[in-house]
Amino acid sequence: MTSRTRAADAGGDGRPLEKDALVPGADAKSFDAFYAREYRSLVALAHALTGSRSHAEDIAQEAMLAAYRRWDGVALLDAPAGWVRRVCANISTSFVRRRVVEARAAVRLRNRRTEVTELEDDDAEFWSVVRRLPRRQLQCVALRYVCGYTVAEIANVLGCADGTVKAHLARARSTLAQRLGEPIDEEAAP
Amino acid sequence: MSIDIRASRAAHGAHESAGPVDPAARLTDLRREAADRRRAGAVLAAAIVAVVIAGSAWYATAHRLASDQPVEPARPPVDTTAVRTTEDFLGALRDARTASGEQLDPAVDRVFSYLADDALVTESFGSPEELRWSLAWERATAWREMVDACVQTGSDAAGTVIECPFTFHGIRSEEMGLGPFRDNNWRFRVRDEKITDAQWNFNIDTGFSSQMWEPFERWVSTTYPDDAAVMYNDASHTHSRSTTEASALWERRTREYAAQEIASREDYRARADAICTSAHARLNAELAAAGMALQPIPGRTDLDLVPGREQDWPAYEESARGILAETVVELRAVDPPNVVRTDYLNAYSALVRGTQNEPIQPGTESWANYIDGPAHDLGLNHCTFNIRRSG
Repeated sequence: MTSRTRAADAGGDGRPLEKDALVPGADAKSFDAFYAREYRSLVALAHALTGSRSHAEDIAQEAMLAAYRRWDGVALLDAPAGWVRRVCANISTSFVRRRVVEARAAVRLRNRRTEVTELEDDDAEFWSVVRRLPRRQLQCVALRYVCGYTVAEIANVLGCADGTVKAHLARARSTLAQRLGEPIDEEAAP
Repeated sequence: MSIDIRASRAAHGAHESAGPVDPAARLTDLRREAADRRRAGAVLAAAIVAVVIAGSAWYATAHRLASDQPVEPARPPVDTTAVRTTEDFLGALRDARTASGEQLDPAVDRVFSYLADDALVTESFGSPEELRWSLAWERATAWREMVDACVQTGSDAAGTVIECPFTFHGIRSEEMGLGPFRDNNWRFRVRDEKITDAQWNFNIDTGFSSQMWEPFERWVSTTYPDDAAVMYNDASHTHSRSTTEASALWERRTREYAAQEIASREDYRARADAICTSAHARLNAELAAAGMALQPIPGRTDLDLVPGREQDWPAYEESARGILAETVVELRAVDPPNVVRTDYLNAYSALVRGTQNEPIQPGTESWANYIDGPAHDLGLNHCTFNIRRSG
């Protein structure tokens, strides 16, 4: 437990990194570029889904770690970004895994100072209502608006039919409009 | 402002919040973490969960509640209709858990009949199909939920708040002699005899993750990786997959895992008993060789000094503590199985206290009482010896 806590400390513990940290056959540069390109988006997605900025970083990191360990396969997918966002969405909305990752965040934050940027009140209220939606509706809303995905892209990420995504989004928009007292723009329907 | 515009603005806010993140620094963390995990051979969260158990508080699930508005404490009169609605809902859920064949769909429909059309609900209750799959997983893994009496805890314009504490067994914990896992609750909001909000709140601190979910996930991922790919619906193994094949594998592999853990527990107990019995014999031989006059202790297998030979007590105790210290080393040479790991580690700590001639600290249970009591079934009763006089 002690060594794992130190490993989570951004300040480091002085131990040198292993040169062969990547899985055999993986392209270190391509993963690095993928990570730099996608990490912030994952944090934004996890923040919307969990409501916690500090935990969002660790959930995003956990999703990236899953990609890292399987990079030789993930890199060959048509949409590696979609794969890692699915993992991130599932961790964010899983009652067991998420609490484990949040405990990790509690350890990490005790060991380093970090600026945590929280949401504006209106945005926090919006996502608070979103998080009370059924799980699939919650994920569809986050992927639609945070990631800017089309219905087809959301369906690909979540592994379901386009029609199912449309149904989830329609019901979610209706519920959100009612709860937040905002009208629905029918022309903006996905 | 339309809901879509508001959503877009909120999404922009979420992206803005991620702005200060330094991907380069986190990438360094990731590589180090991957290297550590490969060295340790552990998966995600064994140590993290240990941190949670060691010191963290009950995780607030406030963000899952139906309303951010504070709920007023319960005041008379009690909304008995609301309490009955939640109890009927839980009764319908209990019936659905035991239903099968042609009785399953009507049982599931009956559960949903208590929910308002626009109810905000916890996982697995998004649709009847979702609930059916959840029930299939519960049956496959011997899930059992024991709900206590529901109590009204608040009331406001949005409805009456009802809480129903429960304990549960999962992943065959009951077969393995673990659990039930406590301090969980259902939290409902009821209005006009319909449930408008239902949240299932689970307490990670009481052991289900560390004793059941994580160890099973490690075992099946390592032993049957192809099956694990079918059983979980994502690469990080955070959720079960909703297919017939996955449900069958959950049942098959949890049965196998439970049988294996029970067998390993019995093997470990037998090993502990053999080690302690041997230590017991060594002590008796050493005391006899030292010429000590010993007598049986009623109800025990170790020996005591005969009356009038109190002057031999220091030598008696020195021999006993020495052999006990050697015995603890031998016991600890093999790690106990996951299913009884905590029990044995606590027992070994108690034995170590027995080797040290220290006064019993306030709040610390006498090591001898511990071994004779809760740890008796661990095969360690022959390790108690007769040095309880010094704690």
